[in-house]
Amino acid sequence: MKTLTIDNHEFIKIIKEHLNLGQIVSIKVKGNSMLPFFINDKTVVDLKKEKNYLKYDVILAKYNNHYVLHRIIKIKDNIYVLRGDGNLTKEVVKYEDIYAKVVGFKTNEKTIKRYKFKVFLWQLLRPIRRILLKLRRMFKK
Amino acid sequence: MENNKYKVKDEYLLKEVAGEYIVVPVGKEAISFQGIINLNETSKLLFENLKEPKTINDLANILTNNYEVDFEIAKNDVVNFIKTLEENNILE
Amino acid sequence: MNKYLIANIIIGFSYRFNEYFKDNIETYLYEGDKEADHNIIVKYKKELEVPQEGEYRIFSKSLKGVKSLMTYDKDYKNIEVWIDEEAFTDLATAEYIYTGMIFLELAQRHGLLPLHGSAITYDDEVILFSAPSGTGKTTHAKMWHRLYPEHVLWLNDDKPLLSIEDNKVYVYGAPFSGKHKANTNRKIPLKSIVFLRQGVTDKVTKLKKDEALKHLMVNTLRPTEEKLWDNTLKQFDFILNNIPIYHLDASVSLNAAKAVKEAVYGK
Repeated sequence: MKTLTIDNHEFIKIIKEHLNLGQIVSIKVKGNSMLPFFINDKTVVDLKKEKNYLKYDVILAKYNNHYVLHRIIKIKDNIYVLRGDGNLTKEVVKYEDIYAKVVGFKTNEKTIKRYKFKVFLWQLLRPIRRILLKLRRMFKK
Repeated sequence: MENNKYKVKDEYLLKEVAGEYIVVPVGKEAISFQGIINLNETSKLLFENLKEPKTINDLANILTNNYEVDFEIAKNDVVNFIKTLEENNILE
Repeated sequence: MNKYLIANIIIGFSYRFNEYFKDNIETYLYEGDKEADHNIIVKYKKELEVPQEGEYRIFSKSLKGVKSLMTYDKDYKNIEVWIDEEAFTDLATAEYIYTGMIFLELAQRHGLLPLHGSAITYDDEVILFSAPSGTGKTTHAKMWHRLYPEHVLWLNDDKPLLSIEDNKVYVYGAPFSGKHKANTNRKIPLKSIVFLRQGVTDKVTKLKKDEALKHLMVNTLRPTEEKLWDNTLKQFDFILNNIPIYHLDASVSLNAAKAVKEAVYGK
C-alpha cells in the first residue's frame, strides 16, 4: 500500500466529498486521545455521514481549525460536547461542525462491529377498521 | 427446520424513517397484517437477505461474517426471528 | 351535483342525508369552472349485487348478502357508493362514515396526511390532539375553548388533514368532522401535536423520535401501496424533525389544558 503525506485540510476536503455522497470512508487514526479503543497508527475507522448524531457516538468534527475524532458526551439543542476517551479536556462544537460518525473500526485486521439483534413487532388496528367495526353495531338483524 | 429455505413475501417492504428501519405491508398483506416491524442494523441485514431464499445456517453465517458474535448465539437469534415472521405469515 | 373544494381537492359530491353535512359542508362549496378531481355519488338500493364488471370494493357484508360497496374507475375519478337501505338502522351515519373513509383515502392519494384527532387553533396556529376514539380528545379541545376563548377557534374534530407545503406543515379542515360539526375551511400552520392518554397526572412529556413515530403510525390512515407508504414516511420524517410532539396523561380537569399550554408556549 502506497503512503502519501498531505496537508490535513486537503485531506478533509477529499473525505468530505465522499461522505457527502453517502459513502463510507475509512481512515487510519492518529494520536492517543481515543485510547483504549483506537490505537495510534494501528486502528482504521469507518466513517459515515449521518443525519442525526447521538450521545456516545464517536464523531469526526472540526474544532478550532483542526480536526478531532472524539466521543459525544452531551448534547443540548445544537451544541455537542466532545471528549476523547483518553482525554480530560472537552471540545464544544455545533451540529454543522460534525462531518461523520464512526460506524465500525478495525485494529489488527479484525473487524469489530457491535452485535445487537433487535426486532420489535407491534400490532395496530387500522383506524378505518375500528370505524367499520363501529358500523357493524348498526346492522339490522 | 435446518434445511428449509425461507423467504419473505414480496409485499413486505423495508423502509427507513427518522433513522429507524421498519417493515410495512402493501397490497393484500396490508389488509391482513395489522402490524409494523421495527428492525435495527443487525436484524435489517437479515431481512434484506431474506428477500432471496436462505437457510437458517446461511443467515447465521451472514451475521458471524459481519459481526463479532458466536455462531450459536447468532443462530439462536435467527431461529427466533424466523419464528416471529412465520407466526405472522410474513414468509412465503 | 354540487362541487366542494376541500384541502385543495375538488370533489363532486351527491349524498342523501343532511344530518352530518348541514351547517358544515356549505363553507366548502366550490362554484368555479374547474372539473371535479373526483365524483362521489351515494346510491341506495334494496339488495345489492356484486358488480359483474369494473373495479369495486366491498365494505361490509353479512350472511344475507352485501350491505355496502363502492365501484370506481381509473384513478378513482368516479366513485359510486352503494348502500343496502334495509341493512342499517342508521343510514345517515353509515353514509357519513363510508364517504368520510373514501375521502380520507383520496386525500392520502393527493399527498395529504390524515391524522386522527381534534385540531384547535390557538392564535392562528394549530395544536392537534391525537388519541384513539373515546379517549377524550374532544373534551380536551373544549377545555382550551373554555380557558382561552379569545385565542381559540375550532378547526376539525375528527380527521384533520396535514400537508407539507413550502417546508412547513399545514392543517386543513374537512366536512367529515364528526358529531360536533365545528369546522373551519382554511389551511393553518401546525404548531404542535399532543398525544393523549386518559390519566390523572396531567404530566406533559416531550416525545423522542422513535416514540413519536409509533404514535403517528397508530393514528394515521395506513397506506396499502408502496408509493403511498413512501409519501407517508417522508411526511413523518419531516414532522418528526420539525414539529414538537408531546404526550399528555390527561385528567378531566382544566389543569390538563393549562399543562399543555405551558409546555408548548412556555410560562
